[in-house]
Amino acid sequence: MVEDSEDDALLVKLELRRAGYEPHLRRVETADALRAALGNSWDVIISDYSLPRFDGMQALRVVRELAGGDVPFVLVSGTIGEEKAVEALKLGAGDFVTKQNLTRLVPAIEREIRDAQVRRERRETLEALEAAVLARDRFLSIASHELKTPLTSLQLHVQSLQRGLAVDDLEPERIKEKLGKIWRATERLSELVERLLDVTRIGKGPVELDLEEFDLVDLARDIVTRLREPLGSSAAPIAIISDAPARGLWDRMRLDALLSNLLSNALKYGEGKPIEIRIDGAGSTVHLSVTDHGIGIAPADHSRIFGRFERAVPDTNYSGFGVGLWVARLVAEAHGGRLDVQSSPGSGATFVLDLPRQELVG
Amino acid sequence: MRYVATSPGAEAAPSVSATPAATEAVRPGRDSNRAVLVVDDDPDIREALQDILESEMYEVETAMNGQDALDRARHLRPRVILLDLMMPVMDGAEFRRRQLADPELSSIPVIVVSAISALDQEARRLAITEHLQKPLEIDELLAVVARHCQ
Repeated sequence: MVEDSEDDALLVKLELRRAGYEPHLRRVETADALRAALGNSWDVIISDYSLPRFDGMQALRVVRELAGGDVPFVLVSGTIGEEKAVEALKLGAGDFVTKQNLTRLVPAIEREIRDAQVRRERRETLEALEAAVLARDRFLSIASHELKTPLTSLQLHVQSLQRGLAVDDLEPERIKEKLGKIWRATERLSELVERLLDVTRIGKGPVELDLEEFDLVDLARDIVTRLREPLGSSAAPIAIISDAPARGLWDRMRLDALLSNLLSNALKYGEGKPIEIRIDGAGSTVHLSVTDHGIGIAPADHSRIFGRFERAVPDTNYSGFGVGLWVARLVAEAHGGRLDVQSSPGSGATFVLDLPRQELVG
Repeated sequence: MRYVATSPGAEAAPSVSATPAATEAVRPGRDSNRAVLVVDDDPDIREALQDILESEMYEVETAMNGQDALDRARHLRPRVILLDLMMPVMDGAEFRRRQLADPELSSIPVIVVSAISALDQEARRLAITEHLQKPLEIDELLAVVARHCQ
């Protein structure tokens, strides 16, 4: 409360008490004192119009400058001219109450607090929407970059085939080899498109599961073979550590995608060092972990990386949509399980998947 | 046409006339006039570019990131470097900074080859006058490389 008269402050306090409030009220008389008080957060600022060393209009400017537009500001004063009152309202005061008519004060404050709340919520919604649009735009630009990579190699191979055929200097073996590369590029393209569609589908509603019984260790073995093959001997070694089969009723295709994602991340961020997959199928919940010894992830990023369109590293350094872990988490949760990460920068990362055998959600 | 060149004579037709018979003869020795360094993190693209350039009798080396490229450039002394931008370990921009700071490498011309949007601005920012937008037109690619390897 910006007020030079203790009596007037007391009157306001009594008025608030009469309406059932127990106000925590601080009275200030100068601009400096007001600035200091604004270090705390207040539900409403009540200000007199004219004070010996200060006035309500200056107080309003200080409040708007330091506390933003959300904090309600109500002028409580002796009679001031209509012009001054209008000016105050124009400058952003919420209401003007005369000291002769304090019964209007509480309803005015209540309305101002409500309005401020609405303003705040509207602003937050708007900010969230803007952030979502920004994330989507960034995703689209990353997605188009990602699609262009296999498209580039596809077109290069096709063009070089065309050139070779034009001058008729291609051996059948060479043609076969080029066609093989072309085929691989189209496979990469269709896989990317599939993943893009998955993002849209999964974003829309609950993840639908197509359950069948299979062994997670078998699946892991298949995936390792599939991922390592195109990388040749230069790829990091991947060890599967498991005592026994881990059978359960799960969605094979989705877990394949989940595990492939964890492993490609490990290959991508693992700096070529060995990768371990541990599978423990002894209990009612199967535990699977994928450990790499690469660049690691700062603790501050641990929860963020499971969000949509997120990644722990800058976009410019690593390829990928930034949606893999988001999809992986949703798939784990749809199985009634969970996906977590343990990591610190420079010491690699371990992703842990807990997967109940049968308890299903949804 | 996506290819943009700001240097004069950019419209010159590709000067390469394929004479494949010479390829094997060139390989054992070093034809320093035809050495090209291809820098890209994607193995398929590296391979495709290498295939195409080698069939035009260039001597091609590839690097998978900026760090790798610096090492190879010092050995190979290429006539021109084809540089991708988004790469792990060391990206294209950082490679360019270090290349320019290295008196042995700074004069080697660099052509940016990337799928990012606003590639012309990014190239200008890196003080590179030539860029090729992915997906690539093979004729443009060969024309640009040929011009640097005359």
